[in-house]
Amino acid sequence: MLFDFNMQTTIDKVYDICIVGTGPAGITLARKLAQSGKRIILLEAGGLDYSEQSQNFYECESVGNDAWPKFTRLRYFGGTSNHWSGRCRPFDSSDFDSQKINGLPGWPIRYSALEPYLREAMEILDLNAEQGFQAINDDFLNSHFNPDAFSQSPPTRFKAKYQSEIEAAENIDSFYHATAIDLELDQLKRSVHKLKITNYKEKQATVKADKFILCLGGIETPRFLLNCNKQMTSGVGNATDMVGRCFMEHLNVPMGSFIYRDLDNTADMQFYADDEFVSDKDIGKSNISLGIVSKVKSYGRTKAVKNFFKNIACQMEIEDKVQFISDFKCPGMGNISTLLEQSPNLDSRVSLSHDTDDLGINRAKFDWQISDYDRKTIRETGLAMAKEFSRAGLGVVRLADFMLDESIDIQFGHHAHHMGTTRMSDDPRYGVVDKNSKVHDIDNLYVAGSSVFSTGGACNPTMPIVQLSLRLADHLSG
Amino acid sequence: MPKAINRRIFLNTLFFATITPSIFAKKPHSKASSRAAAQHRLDKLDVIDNDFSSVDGWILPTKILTKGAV
Ligand SMILES: Cc1cc2nc3c(=O)[nH]c(=O)nc-3n(C[C@H](O)[C@H](O)[C@H](O)COP(=O)(O)OP(=O)(O)OC[C@H]3O[C@@H](n4cnc5c(N)ncnc54)[C@H](O)[C@@H]3O)c2cc1C
Repeated sequence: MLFDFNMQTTIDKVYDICIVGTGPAGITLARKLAQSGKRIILLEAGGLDYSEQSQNFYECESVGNDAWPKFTRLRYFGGTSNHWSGRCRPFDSSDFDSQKINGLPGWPIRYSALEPYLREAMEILDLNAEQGFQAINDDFLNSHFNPDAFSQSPPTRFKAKYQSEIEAAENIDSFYHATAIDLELDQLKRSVHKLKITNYKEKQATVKADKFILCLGGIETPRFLLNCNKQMTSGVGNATDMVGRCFMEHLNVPMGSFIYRDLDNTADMQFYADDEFVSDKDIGKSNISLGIVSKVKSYGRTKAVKNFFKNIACQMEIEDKVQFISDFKCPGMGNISTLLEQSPNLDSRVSLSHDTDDLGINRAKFDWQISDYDRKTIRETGLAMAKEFSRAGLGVVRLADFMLDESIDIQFGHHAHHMGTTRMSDDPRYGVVDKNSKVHDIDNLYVAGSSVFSTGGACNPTMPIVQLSLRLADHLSG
Repeated sequence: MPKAINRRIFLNTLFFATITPSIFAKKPHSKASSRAAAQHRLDKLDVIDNDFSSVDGWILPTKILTKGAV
């Protein structure tokens, strides 16, 4: 059943499970738990469509590297799946090999905990399970960079695909225009007693359930927990000051440009560094994309480029050759971009701003920082790839100045993947949730979404989010 | 990559090698001024490792720079 909370006065029922947020995590959990006969309440802060009024609640105070936190999320039914791009790639089993990075442990679970949910997650995301994950290009020869295999979702819009099913489900009560604003804990502060919700006006209600799951995304989940500070001054689940820390993105670095030796080649390529390379260098994982921007012919440089390859291959004095190459101001046929693993680091974080939203609740203060480990990942990966490209006889790569000169700041962007802010760890000193996604010290509060990622690998997050949500649903329906 | 050291070693190798590579044999480098000019033109060159160098960001096998076709 689907209700507009604006039209509702109270919520009297007591539910088995209260799910907050209707993105891929929340909707997956609601559907799966409903199958096990649980009585579910599913809450959504926004309406059924986009509105400026709702989206404005996502405004943040950004003090570090900017990742456009207001625009990379959507605050209405279906969440950010209303504009995601649909690229899907599973984690590797090596993503779960638990070694410490920046003093922080990795995942407390193994890949085998997620693998059983792969097929079901693929169905949910309309991926062709028979076809599996496929690469768009061939191998570099004798290289550590393999073609990256992925699968493309249409992309699945969770509202369009699942709203009617939720509407029809007898044991799901879903309310939109219902913003979760606070948690009321029991006297011992060991479990959540009630969740407080409001619409955009004065209307408030409380929701009672046995268990509560927060599925608000990687920025809003820590913001919510930190704002629940009436009974616990530093926020709920934050006894060790870990809520909001270790914000991770996937690093999108404009590494440079390239020219294929074969000027008629217009194929894009995507490579993934193998485990041996990553562990030998002690760096993060990487996906590198070579995307054609313009055919050499189409900007009238065929002759200049042919001349370039001819001249660098012939005997010439080294000074002349260096001069000749420096004078070759070709923009390249295509650009190199990346999806690189960012390591968890405590200084990269979501905390509370002094600014408040229209409900008087503190906004998120967003401070995205990368570490020296990440800088090493960027530079070592780019250089190795450029060498392999040349060795394979494909052509030449020109790396941006910051790739070679450590005194220049690295340019990088984001992928709208918000991870790590309620990270999973068996040890509360290093994380917010345990291996079952339950908040440490609170008996009935869970988190789903990429905020629980202990490390982010170099894969797109949504399919693992769905796998982890299915796993949590299994755990809670047992 | 200890860039400054690599670069210095590489340039020293080119200019002061006991056996002059054939590529330098064509032009005598006796005058200090011509050496300085040549060194200036080599400013855009950086050695990456045993096999690769970069020229103005282009990553190329060093063999290509010193010998031409490989
Ligand atoms: C442009 C773009 C392209 C992307 N492309 C890809 C891609 O190709 N592949 C990929 O894997 N990922 C991609 N992503 C990321 C993907 O969209 C997210 O991983 C995914 O949507 C996260 O799902 P979620 O359910 O955890 O959070 P969300 O989808 O963000 O859902 C959170 C929900 O919580 C609701 N909410 C927030 N606060 C409250 C509150 N206080 N009370 C009640 N409800 C609340 C929100 O309205 C929303 O419905 C992309 C993202 C963007 C922006």
